[in-house]
Amino acid sequence: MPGSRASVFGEAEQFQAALGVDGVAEFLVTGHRAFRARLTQVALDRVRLLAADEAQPRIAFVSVPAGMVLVAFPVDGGPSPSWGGIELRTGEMTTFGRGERLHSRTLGPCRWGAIQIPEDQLARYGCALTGSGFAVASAARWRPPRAELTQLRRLHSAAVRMAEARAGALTDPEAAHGLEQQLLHALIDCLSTGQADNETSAARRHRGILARFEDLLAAESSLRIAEMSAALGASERLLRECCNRQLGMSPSLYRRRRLLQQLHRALQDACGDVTSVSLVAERYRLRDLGRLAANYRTVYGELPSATLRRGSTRGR
Amino acid sequence: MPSSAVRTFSDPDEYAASIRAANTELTVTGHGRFAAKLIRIDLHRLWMQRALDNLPRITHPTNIAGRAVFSFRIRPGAGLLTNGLEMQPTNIICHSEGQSYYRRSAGLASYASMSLPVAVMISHGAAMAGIDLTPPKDPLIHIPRSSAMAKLQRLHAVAGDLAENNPEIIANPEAARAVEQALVEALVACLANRQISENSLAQGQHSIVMRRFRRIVEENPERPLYIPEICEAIRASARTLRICCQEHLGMGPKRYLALRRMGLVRRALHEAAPDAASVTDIATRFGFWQLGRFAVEYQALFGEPPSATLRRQPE
Repeated sequence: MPGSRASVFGEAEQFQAALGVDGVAEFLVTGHRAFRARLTQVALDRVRLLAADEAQPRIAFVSVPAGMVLVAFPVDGGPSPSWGGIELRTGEMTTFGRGERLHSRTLGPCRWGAIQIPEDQLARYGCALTGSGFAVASAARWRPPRAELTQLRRLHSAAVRMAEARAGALTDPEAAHGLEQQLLHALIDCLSTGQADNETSAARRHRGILARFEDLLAAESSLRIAEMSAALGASERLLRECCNRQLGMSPSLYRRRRLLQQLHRALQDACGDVTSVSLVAERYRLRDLGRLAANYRTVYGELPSATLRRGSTRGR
Repeated sequence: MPSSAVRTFSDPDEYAASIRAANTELTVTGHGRFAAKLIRIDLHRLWMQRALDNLPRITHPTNIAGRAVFSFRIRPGAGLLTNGLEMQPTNIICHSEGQSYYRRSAGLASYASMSLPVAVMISHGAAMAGIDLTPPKDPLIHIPRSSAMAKLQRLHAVAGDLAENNPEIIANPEAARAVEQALVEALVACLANRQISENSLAQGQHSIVMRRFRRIVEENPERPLYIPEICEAIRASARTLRICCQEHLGMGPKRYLALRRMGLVRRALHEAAPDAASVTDIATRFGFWQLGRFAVEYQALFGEPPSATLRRQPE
């Protein structure tokens, strides 16, 4: 069912939830200012369009939904996130195949556009238009001819503008079909005439280590970093290198920042039943409360108890 | 009963519907106010048309089954092509029976056509000149002797004058028989001493692609169409389709389909109730997403903004 949604978010948690359907599994805000993001999502027949304008630096962990191909590109010349360690310049785009997992990181305000296309549809029309077999590499950076990429971005931004200007726009099935056909054509033109840099095997391995690191953090966050790197089959040094390069911080700092954010969210949501900060903290295995409070204040600008008070007032 | 009719048009759709050929679809491809004139003359077995239209356009007529059809250009001028074959006042297109073809003009163009039942044409060919006038599989171009061609042009013009100024002469069965006899003789004389420009093999294959292309378009008269679905349906790559369209339509498929969608939008705007529909809804339904560019192009093509077409009540 075609449709669209344009929203403005003041809470990272809600932004993350809205992106859940597009494969965002984790979302860590790394900036210290008020969160603010705009997100427009358009669903056509089977193709989905996304456009975002974010104010705060962050790290998102993305898992490309089953059967889909993710295409991402910078919009409006704004700084673009890095995708799986790939930095995009104007005039470039990146593709990730179904099930690929990657971290997308921004260093400040950024704007990006993305398209999610069913892999079978891309193969089918790619084959029809080029007259030969058509497959997209699992991860690559592209430099399409200028006219082809411009056409793709024009269609994308026209649809996004339409969705932003009118609630309930893009619900007409004929309109959605037409836009989808034109987008597919433009995208296949980009992919069949553009130059591609496929991801190197080393880069692929590093991306995989980080994805499994994310699994470990979700399942057994109390393991020591040395134990984690052993479980990942990577040296501690390699894990640290991967983290530094793609996440911009060490593995232990990334873990701590994730825990602090979980704590922050838990405190905000906590109502009368959880009354002490240490109880919440215990749930997240943060032992050294003095240091925890100090770290927390550095990131969120207040002590955990203050967040809790605001949370419980809000809860009532 | 022989008859004739003379009509003028300002609406391309009405003009297209009046041209005698099944499923004529006309897509205007240039800017300006459309004007056309059509003279139709039905004698006994010979049917004729003389047509004049002023804007660049593409039509896709289908010849009536069972009739041998010939056409030629009346005056020199802007390019006029049939399936990519350049029409001149000095040559004749010999059409294939019951088949469709593309005819495109680059501007003001006038042309004439004649048709006879296939069996009658074959027997006239055999009796008058000992030639086989069975319609070809794909349209062919004949280059007659210049004196024969001049005579055919002259006689066809005389018939046109009669239809315009003395239609009662055409309606007289005896007079009609004489006119028919003279014109058929002139036509066979043109075809008797002929040079045929043979179609190349590639042109034949391109004709197949264009026939399939056309079928898709005809099966979806109201729907906008897009290149990916067309390429898939006709099993031709975008590159092949582009070459074929360039040859037959004088433009790429993208441009042609966009112009066709423009025509569909105009019709939809015309038929929509102004208070129930918006230009944006209708434009996007036909695949126009960049509304600023759409409005400019629409105005250039049809001489009025889309909102004006929407406000005008259907007659």
